[in-house]
Amino acid sequence: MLASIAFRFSAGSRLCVACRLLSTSPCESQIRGQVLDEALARVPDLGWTRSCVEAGARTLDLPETMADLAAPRGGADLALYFIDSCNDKLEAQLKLRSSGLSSAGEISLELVGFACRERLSMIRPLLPYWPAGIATLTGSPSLALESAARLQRLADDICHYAGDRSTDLGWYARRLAVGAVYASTEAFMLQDVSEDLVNTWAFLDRRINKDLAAIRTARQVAGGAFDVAANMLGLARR
Amino acid sequence: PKMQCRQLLRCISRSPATSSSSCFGVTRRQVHQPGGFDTSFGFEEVEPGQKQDRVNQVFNRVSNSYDLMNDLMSAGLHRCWKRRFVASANPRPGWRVVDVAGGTGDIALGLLEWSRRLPGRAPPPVRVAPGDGSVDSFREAAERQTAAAEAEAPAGCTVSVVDPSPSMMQVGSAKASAKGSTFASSIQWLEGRAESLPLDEASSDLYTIAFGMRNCTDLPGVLREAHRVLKPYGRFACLEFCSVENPLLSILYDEYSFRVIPPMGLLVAGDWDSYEYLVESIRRFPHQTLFANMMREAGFSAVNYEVLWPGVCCIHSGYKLPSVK
Repeated sequence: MLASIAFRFSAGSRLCVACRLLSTSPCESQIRGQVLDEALARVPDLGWTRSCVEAGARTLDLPETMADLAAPRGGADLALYFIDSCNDKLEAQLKLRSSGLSSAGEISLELVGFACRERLSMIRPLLPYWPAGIATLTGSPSLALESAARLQRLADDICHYAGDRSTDLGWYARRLAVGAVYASTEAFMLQDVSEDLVNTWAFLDRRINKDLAAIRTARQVAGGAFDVAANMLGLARR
Repeated sequence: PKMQCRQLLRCISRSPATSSSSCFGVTRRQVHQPGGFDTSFGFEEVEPGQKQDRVNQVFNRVSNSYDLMNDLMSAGLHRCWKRRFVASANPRPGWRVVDVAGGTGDIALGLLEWSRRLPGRAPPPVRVAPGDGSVDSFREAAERQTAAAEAEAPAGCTVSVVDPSPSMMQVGSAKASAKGSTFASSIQWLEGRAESLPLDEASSDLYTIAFGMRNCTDLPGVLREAHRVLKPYGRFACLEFCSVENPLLSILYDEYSFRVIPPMGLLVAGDWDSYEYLVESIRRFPHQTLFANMMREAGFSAVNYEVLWPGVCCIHSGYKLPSVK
């Protein structure tokens, strides 16, 4: 039961919730991808704005209506697309890395560190402009919900490919912890001025080796208490 | 009038009407009626082919008080919805827009204003030479300079309004002329039906229809015609009342629609039946997901809809992508 809830929760972030796209023809998602990829190249000049998306469409000889199709909410959709494309690239890399892992409950901290480093490196080309990108996602409650869904999907992907196949309440604790590690490191990175971002990588290592490791032990204690309660109520299926 | 007064008294006394064809106590929440969309005039069944004539009669009668009644019925909310619709359609300068069932010109004027004054574009500054310092000379100089700047600024889009009711368009063109000659000269008023637009194939960048789709007879035909008239990559946008999902709002909305709006129409415009038709036609319109599917069948891509607050109307949007070889 928990596994099915988990699946639905993570699948929800893969749908374009606000647009309610009920069916996506390949032509339309292709156009969207191409226009927004071109627009991302123009963000340093034009920012996370609708005119940036229009410039992207113009490069492909498409009219401005295609900018409206690709980004109905303007810069916010461009920022969400950036997050989604980075998450997709990360998932492709994680699939290759973790094909050998098959543990049943413990996650590999080393893979979590690799995933966070890779994902943060994808932001580096647009790092000076990313704070403005994040700002566009705070414009409305629905946008805030969508960006939270992206973070949840990222944490879910990382935990899954790091070997988490559990079906107990520790599932939530682990994803919360990984999400917190990633989000705090990203926030740190936005104001890091050190050479080659060494401070950011040190911050990430501390977060993983101290906080995540600590949560792992705490999980065994807290998760155990939850499991006892669930067993007594007849909710756990073991 | 006597019949209408009886209806008014019945409404106020809250007892259900007896056998009239459009009695609201019995049939208001019935969605499945015999016959299709093209043989229904509100909750009344008509001969195929008669619906358009009945609709034309309604709009010819209400044209003078249409805008006032819109303000009263929606407490001014329709202006917010239309402004949101124009913002979502986002017409750019130089576009050719076709606005269907846009009789009184609300949307056409909104589209023109939007395209002429896109957000981010500052109004032209007024430079005043030191004259005699009086307010009048400043005002004259400002008017002259604004007129000169408007003459050379990009003209915004051009709108072709298509409406089957000449009296509605007369109200609209009076409004446009009152706004200024630059607005009036950018709008073209064409008499015609949505099912057969007097426009060439692939001639428009944007097709808009606001609160007019439910008055059309043949919805697939309207959508096919929209597809014909749009250029490749053109956009279709439709603002229309939708089925209310929230059960509490639905109850309040039904009570308001059937108990308040027809009497208001009687008191303000002297016409109960037209406003009863308008609220019934809302109930007969397909559900928003069904309409989205109809748009896809007509060939539109990236079809989606956005429900506006408080949940009684929504904007359907689609694009005509060139067909894949």
